[in-house]
Amino acid sequence: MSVEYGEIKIPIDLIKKIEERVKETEFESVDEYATFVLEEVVKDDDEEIEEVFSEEDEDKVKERLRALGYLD
Amino acid sequence: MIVVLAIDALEHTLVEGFNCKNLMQEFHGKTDISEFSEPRTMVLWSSFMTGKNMEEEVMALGDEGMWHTKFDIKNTFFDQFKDPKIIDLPGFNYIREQHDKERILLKQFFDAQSEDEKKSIRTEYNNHAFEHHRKIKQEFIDALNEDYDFLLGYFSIADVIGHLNFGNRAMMKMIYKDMDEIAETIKNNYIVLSDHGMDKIGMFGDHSNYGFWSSSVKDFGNPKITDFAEIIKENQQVK
Amino acid sequence: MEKEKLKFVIVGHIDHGKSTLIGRLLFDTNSIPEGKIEEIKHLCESLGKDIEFGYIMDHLEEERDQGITIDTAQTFFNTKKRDYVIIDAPGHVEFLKNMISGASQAEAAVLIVDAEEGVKEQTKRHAYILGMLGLAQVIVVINKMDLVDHSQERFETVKKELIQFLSEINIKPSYIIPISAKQGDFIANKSLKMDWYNGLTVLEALGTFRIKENANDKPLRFVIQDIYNFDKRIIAGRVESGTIREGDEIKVLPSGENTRVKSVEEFLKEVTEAEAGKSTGITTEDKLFIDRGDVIVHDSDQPVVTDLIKANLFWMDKIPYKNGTSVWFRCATQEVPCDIEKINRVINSSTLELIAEDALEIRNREVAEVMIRTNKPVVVENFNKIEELGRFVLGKDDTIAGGIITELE
Repeated sequence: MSVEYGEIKIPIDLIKKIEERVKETEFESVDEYATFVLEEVVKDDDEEIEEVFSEEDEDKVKERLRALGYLD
Repeated sequence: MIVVLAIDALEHTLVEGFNCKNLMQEFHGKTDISEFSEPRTMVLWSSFMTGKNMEEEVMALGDEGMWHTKFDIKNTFFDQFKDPKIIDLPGFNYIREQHDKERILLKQFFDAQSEDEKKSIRTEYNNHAFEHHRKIKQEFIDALNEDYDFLLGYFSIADVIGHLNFGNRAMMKMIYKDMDEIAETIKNNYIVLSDHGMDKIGMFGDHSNYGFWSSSVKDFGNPKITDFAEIIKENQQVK
Repeated sequence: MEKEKLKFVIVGHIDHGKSTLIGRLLFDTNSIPEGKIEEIKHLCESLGKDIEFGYIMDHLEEERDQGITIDTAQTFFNTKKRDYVIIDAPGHVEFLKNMISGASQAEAAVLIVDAEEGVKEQTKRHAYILGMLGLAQVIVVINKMDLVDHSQERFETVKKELIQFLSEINIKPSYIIPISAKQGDFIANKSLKMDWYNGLTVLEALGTFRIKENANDKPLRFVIQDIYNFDKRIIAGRVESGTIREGDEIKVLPSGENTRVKSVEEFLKEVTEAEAGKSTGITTEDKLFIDRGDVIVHDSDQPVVTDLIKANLFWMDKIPYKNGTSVWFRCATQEVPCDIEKINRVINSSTLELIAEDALEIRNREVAEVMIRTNKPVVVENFNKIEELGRFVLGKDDTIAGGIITELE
């Protein structure tokens, strides 16, 4: 699969600010800059959510299954 | 022939969400199981077939013992029929080796330490459940062509798979659609009934505190699971 | 270089095989992530059946749900020639709203019909939407040919019924193709099972469709935002389409006066032209009276200046429109009072049922075909020619409806 693109809406003021900032960086465009920032944010989130939550879920469901008589 | 499609853990919101027309039929709704302390599979089906709240009796057998509950046909409404066929129903003729193994694998899954180990146990657990499902499906479809006056097919797949995979909506959809196709093959009037539904806990599933019913004949409102013995008996007299 | 991209939508009765067709298109173009197909195949086999392509989308959505979703409800696949985007239409409401407001612009459509069941009410309603949106590139696929023994006779019967209906609503499909999405006949590959059909496959047919013209290649539409008087008089605006260059002969609408571009002005930059999408300023040879909302064009291809507009509206305000009420008409930077002179027909955007003809009001989430009368002439276009000036909103304080212009005097 090739890389896919979609559109998102962000306030014009923010775009203008990014435009200013992009000039001082090696990013080619606002799109590229925004993609990079979002990737960074999402990357961290994914790592955290996956680990913490699934263990919590597992404990919770274990307890429930025990109450329902499945695990003894 | 009166047909009951008994589906463990069939969740009301998913039946609607996946637009399973044959499971929904003309009338459908939730059952009221609030009289029970927990939505336990064995307790609920036992109460269904006897028409009485069997919580105390079943629970007295202990967490392990309750899975081997076996009511005599004389104590159930099946006794009203001349030639009933019941497939794999908990508390009646639940296939012990099959379901014992499900619980053993479930326990192993939660005891396992590594992700890899868990993954491989889950695969074994799922495959074990699917293999059983295919057998039950065939037995049920064959029985539809026989001359029984009552047929009850119990399907555990949504519950068993749901416990370890309910967070995987695509997988659950395939199972619900398969159950919907099974319902489609029934040419007689039938009732769909579940003991309880299912709630999502991350990737897992927990029993929800209401069941599901549907009928092509009548709106039952918000019935109790113990009402169905009477409902089905009446249905038989109408015929 | 980026490959060109065609956006299309698949519509039709819910049970006629839309998701199977999407799954098949993705599968036949190798657009499914590795391992996914095996997983689906395994699950189907576990349930005792052959692989069902209809589940592919569910599994891909599952993947999407697990990541953070910037939900665009779009599915992608590609061929050697170009990229394709299937715009998902989960409900008619969202689809109509997105199409009319411009959030998603389908350039083509595939209308799917079940060979066994034939044309259903829902098929007709969906076809009607295509007509209403002015989608001209339409493929009809007659699906599930495997269930009717690949019968040419059955195909011709359904085809005839459909063509008759479509001609009533002025849709002329470019292709009518017998397919089996389940078995993959005439999606990406031809099939010997229907040797009586020697037309194109679905992919080949899509390949012949035009991509929406690049806004740069369209006629010039420079809409005026403001006039600044510094040491020179700068006319600021946005190039909605085409390119404006130093020295161009230009016409200002609606007044119709001519002049010439003296310079194109950009802050701290020396430029001589500005292309579509750019906000820029110009100075002119002659000092004309120009105001916000005016549109500058080339003489060679001019928009329509009118006060009577036929349009399709999507109403998105809780308060219904009552016949005779005055509201704002906003198109590009133009803003004038208007009223809806006639409500030809009103449709429920969820069920697509016709609510009324010659109606007196339009309620929330209804789609209406209307005649709008503006208080003074506006500069507009048919939506299918230059969408930037063919799309408008109606408003009071806030936006209350989105619309596209379908016919101009």
